[in-house]
Amino acid sequence: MAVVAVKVIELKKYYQMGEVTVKALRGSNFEVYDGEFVVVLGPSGSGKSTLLNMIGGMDNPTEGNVIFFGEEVTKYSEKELTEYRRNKIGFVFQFYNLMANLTAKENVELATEICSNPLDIDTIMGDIGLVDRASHFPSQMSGGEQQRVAIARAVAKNPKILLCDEPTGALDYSTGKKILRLLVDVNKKYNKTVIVITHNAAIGNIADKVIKMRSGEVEEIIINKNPITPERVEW
Amino acid sequence: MNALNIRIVRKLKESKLQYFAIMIVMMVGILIYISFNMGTYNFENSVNTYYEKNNLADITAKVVKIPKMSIESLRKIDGVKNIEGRINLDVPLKIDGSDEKVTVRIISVPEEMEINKLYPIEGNLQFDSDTDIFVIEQFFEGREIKCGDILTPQINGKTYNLNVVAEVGSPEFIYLMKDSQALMPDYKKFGVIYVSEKFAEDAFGTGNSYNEIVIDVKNDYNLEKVKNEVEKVLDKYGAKRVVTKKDQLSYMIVSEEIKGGKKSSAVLPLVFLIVAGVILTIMINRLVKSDRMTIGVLKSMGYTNRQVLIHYSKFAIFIGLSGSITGVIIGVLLSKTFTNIYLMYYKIHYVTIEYYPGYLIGAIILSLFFSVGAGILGAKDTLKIAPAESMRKEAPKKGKRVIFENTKLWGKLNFTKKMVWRNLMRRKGRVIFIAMGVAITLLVVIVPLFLFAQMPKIFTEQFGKLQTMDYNIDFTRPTSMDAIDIIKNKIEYSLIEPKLEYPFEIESKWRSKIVSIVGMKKDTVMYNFENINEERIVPFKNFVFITEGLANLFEVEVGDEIQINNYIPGKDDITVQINGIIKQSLGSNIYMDIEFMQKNLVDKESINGVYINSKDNVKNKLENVANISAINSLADLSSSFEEFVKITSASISAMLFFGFILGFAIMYNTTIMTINSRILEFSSLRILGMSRGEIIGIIIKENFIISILGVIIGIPISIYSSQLIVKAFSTDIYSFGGKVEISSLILGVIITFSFIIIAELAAYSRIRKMNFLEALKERAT
Repeated sequence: MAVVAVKVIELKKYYQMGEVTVKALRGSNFEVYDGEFVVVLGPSGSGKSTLLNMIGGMDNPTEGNVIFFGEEVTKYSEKELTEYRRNKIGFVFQFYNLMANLTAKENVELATEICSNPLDIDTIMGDIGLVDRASHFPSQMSGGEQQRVAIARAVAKNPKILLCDEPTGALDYSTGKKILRLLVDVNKKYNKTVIVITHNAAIGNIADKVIKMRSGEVEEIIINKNPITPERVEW
Repeated sequence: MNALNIRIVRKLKESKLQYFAIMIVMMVGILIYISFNMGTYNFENSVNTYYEKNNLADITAKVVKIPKMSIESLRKIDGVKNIEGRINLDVPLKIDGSDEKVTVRIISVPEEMEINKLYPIEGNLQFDSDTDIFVIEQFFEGREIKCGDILTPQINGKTYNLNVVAEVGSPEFIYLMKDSQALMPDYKKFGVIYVSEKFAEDAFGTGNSYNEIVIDVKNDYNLEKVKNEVEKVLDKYGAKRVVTKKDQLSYMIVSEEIKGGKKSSAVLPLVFLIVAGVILTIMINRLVKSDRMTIGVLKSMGYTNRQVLIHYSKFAIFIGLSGSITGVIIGVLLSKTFTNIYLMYYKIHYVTIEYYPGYLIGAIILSLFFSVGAGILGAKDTLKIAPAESMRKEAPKKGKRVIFENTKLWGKLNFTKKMVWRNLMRRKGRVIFIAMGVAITLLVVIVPLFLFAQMPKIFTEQFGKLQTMDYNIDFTRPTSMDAIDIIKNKIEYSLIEPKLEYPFEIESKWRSKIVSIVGMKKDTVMYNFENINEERIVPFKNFVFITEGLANLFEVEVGDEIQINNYIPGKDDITVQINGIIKQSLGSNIYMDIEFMQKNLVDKESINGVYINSKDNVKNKLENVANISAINSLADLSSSFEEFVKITSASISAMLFFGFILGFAIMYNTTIMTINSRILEFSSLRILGMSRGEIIGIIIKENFIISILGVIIGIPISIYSSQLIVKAFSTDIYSFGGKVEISSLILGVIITFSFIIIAELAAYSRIRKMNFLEALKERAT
């Protein structure tokens, strides 16, 4: 029987943006199994990023629970949340968020220096195709290369789960597909659960599970019995 | 090195001039702390060693006359360890082919000198003949005397040819000045020569007696108590002036110098460290704000708040420590120079230059305190940044109309001017910070300018405004009013007035002090007295005026009484009422009607000097007059004042340079920080079609308005601080009483603005390199 990696129960999040209260999540429920490749799909403002932040321990919900391999993350203290992010979660952001004045390798080291069971950096850099770029600064790399560094940084920590926020959003069609390929490879080779959030419906085709969101709620969950390869995805 | 530390090094490299400017301020603070403290400490130690090894007299007593045998009676006083008698008199020195009036103090040397022992520098400390003399080092160097030279003092109208056999130093003349009224030492015009006791007795005709006693007091005895006992014993010998070493002129000046050095080494470094700390705090705070997303990413990776806080604090610690270490190194090197500067003005032997680890540790602790404090204060906002929140765009700031928008004037402003005023009104914190920066720069510039302006004021207030005579002549001994007629017969003059000047002990409540009382005609035109409100007060019959410093010391006001203890045999102590408190910038005195002084304190008709107004060549004509010990002219004082100005202008220039460093660091950093924090705003303006020059124009206008505000804040702060400095550094010898002149303020503002312009130019050269449009792209990388 498949192990539940993440279980989201009645998750709500309201926050203040200036003078406006934003209801980002209005009560979401779903499960993600260990080793699954999940795509959370939805238009801008549907609450996908907020959902990802809750799962990643980056933010506390207003109501509801996030269960991670049986542990209630939403009950964690600040210190436990930091430990959780440090050892169990790997984040990949739309705009890569690399440190501008660190080289590719140093950006990866930045993550591995603090976690308890990191993978070998050189191996990861090799697997992700960054050997030639290890000593380059972000400004010397293309968007796709920068996103590869961001993925290497997330994977090198050896987390249980990879949370990717619009990882192809800032990339062109061809580079985007290569990044998706990389994520699928990471999912398979390193047996990492991967959750990708995107507004690009086509990407859903490569996932084991697609969670569709609209207006802060889960609209539909689709189990994809025959996901296609990233190379076959068209948008 | 871990990745985060690598990031720090690279970030510092990116903005090196900005960090360097702060580092320099920190460095200067620490440099001053180390060099001033160590320099002063070394100076103090060397001076104390000199006093100890050469046994500086604990008490010095001037008497009219005391037989040699009678000084033994002083040995019985509890606490007295040793006593020596000597003859001490000022006489003119004849200079061949010159009208220079040079005074020498002749001091007799006992056979076994145990107190105020001389320090041999050159020659042999041995009188082989009665006409052999030793010459004090300052005078020896000042007049370029050599051993074997002949000096020709005039004693009681007779010229003696004395043979210089040695150059000596003395612990009682580390700082050689004739008296406390002298503006500064003049080693060409005043010196000390040591003669054998026999020569002094014969030349002065003192017979078997002395006119000065020096006393060594046993350790752990209260000097004041012993002094009081000595006074009682010496009363019958006409004790003119009995002082403990703290009232001895050279000792007092050296002590004041040490005190001043300690004050400066406590206050000045703090000014620099506080400024560096404040700029660092703001800079780190700006960095944290601009790194909001980076901090979010770090936290998302699992970095704790503490790690992030330490990371950003390290920027400040790195800058602080690098400034501190450089400051320590340069400070240690300079401390020797600093001690050597002291040695240029104070003749000390047994100089010890040591490097005290306590100050090194103190410097590191001080810099750590300010840099860690600045780091934590500046970076504390990192704690508030929640990782998820940092990924979202910042909520737009609340926009509202600024107060000026409701005025008619607003409609007449063009777009950029409106922008400038809106920015200023909406970013009040930043405006206040930069304005305070300008105010501090102005303060650091105005204070030295004020002090510099005070120097000539001390001179002109004393010589020209208070004292108006052309010549101030001292007699060797008191004489009758007939002496005036002798002088009148020798020179052309417009006016001559008698003077009577004696030191007396003044007592009021529990305080006592030896003060020089000056008697002059009640209708004198040689003095223009002004009260503390700078209003003229005219002397009248039996007037008694006291200088402001003394009035403060004795806590007396007009109408109060003070007691004058009289040492002159047959004269009683008297109590007088104060009729006026007057301003005086040099020295402290009591002035009184000469007739009242003659009648009650000295002898009727007795005078010991004259004031002369004359265009004649007074010096030449009075050169050979017996009984004249010194002729002080306004012209001589002017030349010594020029020397004084030269010396002070060097230290004023150093202070202005420090002001420039502060001003540059403040203005450069604030301008760069302002631009960095508003880069998106400026980029948007570029997109709208504004040129780079127009954007820089906006910044210039904003900074100009803020600078004006800074000047408005800075002027009263500078005036107030200058007054505080006046109080802190005024002594019995110098008293700064002036107000900050408008000219100093205007010059201060001009200099501050030029500092600001230099800093802005440096900042704009950096702005020119910025790619505003690039900044509009995602900030993450």
